[in-house]
Amino acid sequence: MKTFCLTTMIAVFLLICSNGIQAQTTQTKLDQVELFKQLLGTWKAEVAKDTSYVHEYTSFGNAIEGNIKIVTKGKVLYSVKQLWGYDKKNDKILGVELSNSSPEISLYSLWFTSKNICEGVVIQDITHPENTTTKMKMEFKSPDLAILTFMENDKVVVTRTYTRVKK
Amino acid sequence: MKTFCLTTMIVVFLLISSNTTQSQTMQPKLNQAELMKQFIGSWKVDMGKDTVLFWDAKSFGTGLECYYKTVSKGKTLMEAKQLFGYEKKADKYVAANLVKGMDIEIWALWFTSNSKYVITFYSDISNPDKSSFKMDGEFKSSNVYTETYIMNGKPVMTYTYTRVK
Repeated sequence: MKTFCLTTMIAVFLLICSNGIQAQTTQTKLDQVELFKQLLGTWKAEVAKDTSYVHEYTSFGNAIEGNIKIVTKGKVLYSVKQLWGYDKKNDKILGVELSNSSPEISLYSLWFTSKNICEGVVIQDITHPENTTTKMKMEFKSPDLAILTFMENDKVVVTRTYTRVKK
Repeated sequence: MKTFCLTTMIVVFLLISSNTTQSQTMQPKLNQAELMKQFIGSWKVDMGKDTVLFWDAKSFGTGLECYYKTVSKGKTLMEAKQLFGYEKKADKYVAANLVKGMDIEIWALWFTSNSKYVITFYSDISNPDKSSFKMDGEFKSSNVYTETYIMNGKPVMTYTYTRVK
């Protein structure tokens, strides 16, 4: 009877431990589309005296359209258009960016690693998106404040603080 | 003298042959950005059964900003946005195709002659004929072009685009 009790106790203990470990490892999958919607609205970042980046994001179905203007003393220096959408195959957000001042298009892949942190890469070769030297990170400090960091070969090259201007 | 003449003739012949071969292989590189401008404007496709596709392309930098929709009896069935831009490394145009409510698709488009072009998934540019999706396009005139959809190597549909504006 004593041996039966001990065996039962060990079995129950292992069962509890096993459940605990499972609960820790099977975290809920992040909803990339929903989290990306934090970007919707108008954001502004001061980059120099009298010069700012104004990002306007509007929804198009589940996708997002971006219009960016670099404004100095009320004058638009150049503008950028973006299209962002979900890529189910990779569970990531893919985007393209086109500037009226640059002859080339840029391709990005982004994914949320937590509810408020979005990481991404500049895709130099879509067949091998991991081959990149440019990485980015967007951290939503609050619904109205976000910090964007660009890294080149793992060194921070640009940091911008964006404040929401309009929801 | 006879030997000299023969040698000269062989040299001249080889020189002419070499030039001909060179002119056949060294075709001038196509200016993809210039050829893309043929798309700028508003186009219409009659898809049958009272359904019409409207495709609008505006120039933005060296790229195109596009919007298209299919309309049937005054009702919009589907709408989509596209952004085309040049990628120097591949010497091709890259596009994001976003149909409302669907996943994003990344395409590549490149002209193979002044009037003919190919569209496929960007990830398949090295082997477009093996792609599950390919379009062969051709400008018949400045106001008409056709697109043939090829799925798994077989042409499945051809649409004719007519310029509206």
